[in-house]
Order: sequence, then structure tokens, then C-alpha cells
Amino acid sequence: MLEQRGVPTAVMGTFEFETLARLEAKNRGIETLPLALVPHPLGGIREDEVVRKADLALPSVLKALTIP
Amino acid sequence: MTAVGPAANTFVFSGEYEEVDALYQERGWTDGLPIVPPTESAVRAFLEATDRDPREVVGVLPPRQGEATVERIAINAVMAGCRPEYFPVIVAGIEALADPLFNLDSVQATTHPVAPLLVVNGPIAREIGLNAGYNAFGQGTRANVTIGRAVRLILMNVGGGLPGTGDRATQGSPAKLAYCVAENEAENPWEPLHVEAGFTRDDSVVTAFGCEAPHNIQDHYSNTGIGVLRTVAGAMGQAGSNNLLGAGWPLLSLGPEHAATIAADGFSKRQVKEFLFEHARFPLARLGPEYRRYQIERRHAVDAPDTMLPIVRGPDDISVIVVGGAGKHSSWQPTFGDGTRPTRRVISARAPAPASASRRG
Repeated sequence: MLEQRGVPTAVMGTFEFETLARLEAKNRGIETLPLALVPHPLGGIREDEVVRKADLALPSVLKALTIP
Repeated sequence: MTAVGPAANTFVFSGEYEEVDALYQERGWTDGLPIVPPTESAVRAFLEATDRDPREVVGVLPPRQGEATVERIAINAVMAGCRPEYFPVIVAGIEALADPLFNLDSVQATTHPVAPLLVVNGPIAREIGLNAGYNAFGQGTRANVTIGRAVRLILMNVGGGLPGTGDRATQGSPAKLAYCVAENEAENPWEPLHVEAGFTRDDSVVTAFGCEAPHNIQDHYSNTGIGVLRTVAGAMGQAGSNNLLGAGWPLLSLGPEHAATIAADGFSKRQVKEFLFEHARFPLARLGPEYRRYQIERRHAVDAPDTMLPIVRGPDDISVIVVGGAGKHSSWQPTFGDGTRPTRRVISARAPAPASASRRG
């Protein structure tokens, strides 16, 4: 919805919830919504793991932010 | 203008009850319990309990964005074992759940064990036999159990909240099977929930809360209002609830005896809420390091040894109802934190036919 208002947006999540995210995007008519996904989980992880997952996500976040 | 959705699909089925039930089980059109077959005549009886058009869209339910038409709601109400006179409560309840403030998107999909609780106030609760007394949150009353079940079937069959796909609750909760209660207005020493919201006692109103199953609060020993309230505050100011994490709008369901003890000492409902805002708190110092950091950095808690963390932003964010029979038990319903707000709708049953029309020749 933010994207539709002209704000470049990247939806982040974990592969655990990929099916749900794709289902919701499809049901809202935005099937091609780019997702920036990392291995599960995102909560309860230590800082070095956060950094590692952020590095992993970087290419897909950049792609999501630059594709209209 | 009211949106119009598609007519429900029908199919011809010949066979025994066991066979039709097996079909519904195979197709995943159930919560796990056997269903009542939604035949056209059974559904029609429900549609006659409302003035609304069968194809009117009452709400669009995520994650499937399924259109909850009056007819689809009726079908699921039949399947749940409801009686036709319950139907207006269910329609109003679904309307409340589809209100954007309720945030059904998140309530349906979250890992949290949130369930939509319908609290019914006003004459309809008594007319259809909703239980507000002994065991009101439990088993034994058809209206409570089947209205709650109908809501769940609608969230699954229309909204697509299916465990493991559209509903990702880590553990879930028995409250997700059926969660509907009437307020015990007769034994409420204060104004009932809907009157507090500006309705009259003669209005029938449903209020939806996105909350956990009841957490019991036992106090057999206090004989003063302040005594009972301290126990209640101690139970509500706990670690692990979404309200401690991110505030929100929790619910307190006082048993009539606790409510009477509190009111007898002069507490108004507003004063109960003020007391709980001040005292239903958890010490920052007792949290683990990561949680402490979260509270300091994200919720601006003061990093001091005596900091007490509130579960709401202010007294008005706590709802208080009176429910149950005799005994020294109350409960509170932690909610889905900041992720849902209570929503409310008036329940309108079909206008009764004029006396002359029902007179027999």
C-alpha cells in the first residue's frame, strides 16, 4: 500500500512464512510483490546473526526498492 | 452503497449423514468437529432472521479476502449448529471483525494465540439464551458455543484462516474453537459495557476483542475493594503478555462477587481502571536483558531499579465487564497487544411482523 503511494517498499520476512506472504499478496492482486526473505527466525537471534541475515537480504531488499 | 457478492454455490448430494460429513471433513470445510449439513432449507430459515439481502457483503475477510455475504455467514452458522435466532448476533459480530481497527489481517495470520471474543450486551442476549452466569466462558450453552464456532468457521471457510497456511498460530488456543459470552448485566454494579459506550440498556450490541483465552484471577481472602484490586493488578501486570510488550486494549472480566466487593467500597468503573493503570505493572528490573533493552529503547522506559512497566497507555484503554456466577474468581483477557482494538456493532434483528399478519384465520 505504501508502494502504491509512491514510497519504495521492501517486504521482509523469513522463508517459514513465504507461503503466507505470497498468498496474501495474490489475494490482494499484487502477486508479483517482491519479497526479501531470510532463513527463519528473525526474532530472538543474536547480533552477529542479525548482521549475517542482513547481508543475505541486501540484494533482495535493493531489488525490491528499485523495481517499481 | 452496499457491495453485493456472489450467490453461494450449491451442489446435490445424496447419501447418509456420515457421508456428507465425511465430504466436508475431506474438503477441509470444518474446524475438526462434525458439521450440520447446510441444506438450502436450513440456510433459508437463517436468512429469514434478518432484513439484509443474502448477497450483501458484510465484510471482506483476510487473508483470502473472502467476501462474507449474509448467505455465506448463514451457511457457516448452520454448519456450526446455531439456531436461526442467533443469526443477527453473528452478522453483527462479523461486521465488527471486518472493521479495519480490529485488524483481522494480523489477527488471522499471527503466531500469537489470539481469538476473536464476542461480548454480547442488551436484550438479545437474554432472548436467545446466551449464558452470562456460571461457566459462561465454558461449555454447556448452545448459543455461546455455536455462535463462537460459527465465527471460527467463517474465519476459516470465508477468510481462509487455515492452520499452517493462513493462520500461523504457534500453539493456538482452545478459545479459537468458540469464544462468545454475554455480560452479566443483572449483577453488574456499574453500567454495562454498551451503556458505557453511549448505547441504552435496550440496545443490543456486540463488542469484539482480539484476545487470549481467560487467565483466571482467584481471590478468596480479600474482603475489601482494594484487596481484590491488588490481586487483579498483580495478575494483569505479568511478563509474557503482548500488553506488556506493546500496550493495547486488554479486557478484565470480573466475577459478580469480586465486582460487588469492589463497588461496595465505592469504586466506580472508571476508578477501577485508574487503579489498574497505576498498579497492573511489571518491574523492569525483573525482565531479562534483551527485553529490558527493548523497553528502554523502544518504549522509552526509564532505566532505573524501581521502574514499573504499564500494560496500557492510559486507564481508558482497559475494558471491564462482569461475567459469571457465584464464586471468588475473575479473569483477564490479554489482547493481541497494539495489533487490535475492540470494535462494536449494533445487533439488529428483523423487525417483528405486525400482529395482524401473524394472526391465524
